Amino acid sequence: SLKPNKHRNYEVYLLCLSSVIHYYFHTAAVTVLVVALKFHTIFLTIIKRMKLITHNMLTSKGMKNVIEGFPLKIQAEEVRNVDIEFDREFISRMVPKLDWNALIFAAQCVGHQEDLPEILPEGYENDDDLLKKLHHILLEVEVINGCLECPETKRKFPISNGIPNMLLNEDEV
Amino acid sequence: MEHSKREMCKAQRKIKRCINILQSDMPDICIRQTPTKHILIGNAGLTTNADESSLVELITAVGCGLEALTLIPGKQYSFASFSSPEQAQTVFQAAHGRLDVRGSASPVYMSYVNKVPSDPSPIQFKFPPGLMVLEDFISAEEEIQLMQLIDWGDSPFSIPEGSILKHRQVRHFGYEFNYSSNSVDKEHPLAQRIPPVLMPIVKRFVEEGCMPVVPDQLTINRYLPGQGIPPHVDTHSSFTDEILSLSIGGGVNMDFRYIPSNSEGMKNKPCHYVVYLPPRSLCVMTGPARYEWSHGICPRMTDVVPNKNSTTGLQLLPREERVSFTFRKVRHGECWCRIATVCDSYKKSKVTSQEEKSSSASATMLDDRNAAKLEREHVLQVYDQIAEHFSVTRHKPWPQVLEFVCSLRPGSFFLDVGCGNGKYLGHNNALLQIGCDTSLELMKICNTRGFEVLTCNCLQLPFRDCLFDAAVCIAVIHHLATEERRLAAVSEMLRVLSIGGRGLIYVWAMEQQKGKKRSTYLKHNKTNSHDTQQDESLIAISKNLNFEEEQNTESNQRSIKASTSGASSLPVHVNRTEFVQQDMLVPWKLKTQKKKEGNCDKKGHYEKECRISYRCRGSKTPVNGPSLDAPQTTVLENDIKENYQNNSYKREPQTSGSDPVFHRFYHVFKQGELEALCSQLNVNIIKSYYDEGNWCIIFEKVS
Repeated sequence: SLKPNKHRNYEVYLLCLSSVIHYYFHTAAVTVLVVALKFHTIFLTIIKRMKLITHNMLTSKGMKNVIEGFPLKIQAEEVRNVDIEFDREFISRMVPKLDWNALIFAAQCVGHQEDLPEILPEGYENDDDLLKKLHHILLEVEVINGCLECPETKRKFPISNGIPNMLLNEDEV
Repeated sequence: MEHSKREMCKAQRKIKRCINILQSDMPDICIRQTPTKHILIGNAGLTTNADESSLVELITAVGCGLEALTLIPGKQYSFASFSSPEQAQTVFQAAHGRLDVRGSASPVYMSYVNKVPSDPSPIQFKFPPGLMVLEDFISAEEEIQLMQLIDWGDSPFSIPEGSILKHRQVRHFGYEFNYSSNSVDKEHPLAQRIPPVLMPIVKRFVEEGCMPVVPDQLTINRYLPGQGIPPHVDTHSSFTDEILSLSIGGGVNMDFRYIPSNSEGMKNKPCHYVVYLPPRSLCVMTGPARYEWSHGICPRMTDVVPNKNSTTGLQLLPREERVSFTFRKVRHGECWCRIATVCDSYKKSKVTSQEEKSSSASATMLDDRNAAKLEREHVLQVYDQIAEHFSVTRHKPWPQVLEFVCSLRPGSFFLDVGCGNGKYLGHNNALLQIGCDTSLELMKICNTRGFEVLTCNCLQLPFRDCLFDAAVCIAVIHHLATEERRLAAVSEMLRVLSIGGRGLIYVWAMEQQKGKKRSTYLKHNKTNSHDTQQDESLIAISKNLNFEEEQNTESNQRSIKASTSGASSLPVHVNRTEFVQQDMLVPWKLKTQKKKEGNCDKKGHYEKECRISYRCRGSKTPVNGPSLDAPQTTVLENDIKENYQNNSYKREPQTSGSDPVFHRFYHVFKQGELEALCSQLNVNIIKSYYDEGNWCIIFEKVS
């Protein structure tokens, strides 16, 4: 799962807390709950930002006159790290689908190159170290705000609230 | 001696005449003076009321060795082939100028020929695509009843058109058909509706699946022997997809001819099929048979029909008085087929679009730009505005879709195209899940639920090729306005799938009633029950049921007609009823939370309700503006949603008029349409099925 561990714990905690309080203190519960939930949603609303695994998939090829449109250049204003449970299998399976050069490029853009090798080495499935690094760069680095720039047309696709906006205008199709 | 000589001369003259006719028809057949295996029988054929049984009778009476008889439809002559010239000679000498065929006044005249025609008839007794003939649709008693229904004594005659006087008698019910404009006056229905005595038969149409709804126009034609109707295509814009024709009295041959859709026409001769309509049968014309093939009845006294028992497979059938009851449903709006040669709507739109530059208000046809505009106004913008309410009504995933998602291998890349509020994300966390949709508001909702999403259009998916192991597209492509766009959406989905990757598509079906079982969409139509306000509020719809539609149940509510971008010609669907047409606007009555906040300000009985339904909102402190970004779909997800649905309608102020109504464009799919769409691409169709009012397909990318 891509949900950060500690946040999931918070969810459960708040659930229990709110039901208990509600049970005993009917009225007061509501106010408390408002506060609790406000915090909770704050937690929730900050957890989802664009991950680099997504960037590795995106292209601006849908625009007319664009040939490759890949990889898009990340211009990140705000980046943060989150904590995701490491799943070896999951990462190993992901590797063959990645465009390695695009990944290196993306890592550079967000300042997280962190000695990822230039070329994907053979036998990566057994290289735990590498897999952990990949895990970090693909899933734990998130772009909060910024934009993605098409390499050919320089058109910028904004990322706001972690949601990249890849909708094209009428004249771009 | 003398007698026979005179007769021989007469016979020679007669046969000469027949030979001339033959040679103008079939120049490659030559006459022989010496005996051959084949004999021409010059004055006995299908048009002279002879058939193969009478010819066989004649021939076998005087000889043997008859191998084959060739009767040519529409011709007065026929051929007999023998196993040897000697046997032919025996028959010739005995019959020529001497013997009569049964039913004929004069003797047969024969001649030897070198060969017989091999392919006697270009008439093909085949059905054009989209045509069905249901025999014995009504009982003999019903037939008698129908025959007596109309007194033809003083009926108006059909109006002559051009130089051809039709002569047949007609009667119209429901709507008047105007023969000069070839259309129906949709604004002024006739006082006389379809006669109630026909209602049982009409209901049978719907039950048997011939038509989705009952027809509202009836034309009764009376054909006396020798009368017919010129070939025509029923006007596209006047009637919906199905034309039903019930024949009583006698049977008749109906001629179907294909109208080529482009100006160059077909390379070979255009197709002409003949279909025999027996009495008491129902002829159902849909699809190409209704839109692209013309139908007509030749004014004749006889018909050549298939006969299994005869060697030639044909027989001559005299015409009898026939009355046809043609049932149709008047179409509201224009026809969208865009086939220039046969569609009046298309022709009309071409004229208007040439007349004016801007294509908004009066555009009835859709080119790509107008389609995009229509979708923007009636899909994209609408979803952004109804996002919250929409999300609340979408919480129960369809089991078969879930099955698809959960059956995927761990580590697979999964894409939900048009993911809405992320209903199908988060179920199988062993997958890398990405969702996309056009609506930013809905994506924000997904975001707060922890899903990796982005905004894009399904026609231009911003992903690399061959990336995803699986993709789903649930209830999306029925929002696309043209077939090209729908095909483009499926091919985009295919592009991003890896080879061997699987796609699942769900679209709304036109047929909401599958074999008498009504879908849950229809079940919640409360017209049948008393329409009180209380009843409406007690509809706790989405709580337990697994279905996919809005809470509008007031079927007496007719929403405002849409205004721009080609939508003016689209009919507005009445919710929770059967679909009448494929392209339409479906209303969404928005129930906003902001209303509740307004109510919250007042103390009193609203307080309690608010506390129950919105645990996050304080009853004491009035809440200013939306207090939370996300609707209550996060933590106490199910709880809150249930209560929202249960209680919010109890307290709904009875001002249904003031709730904003949005119209979403839909093109509902007919049976087989989705399959046909996907078959145009390079895919293996794994499964094609019907699920609760939706047509569904699972396909696999081949290369």
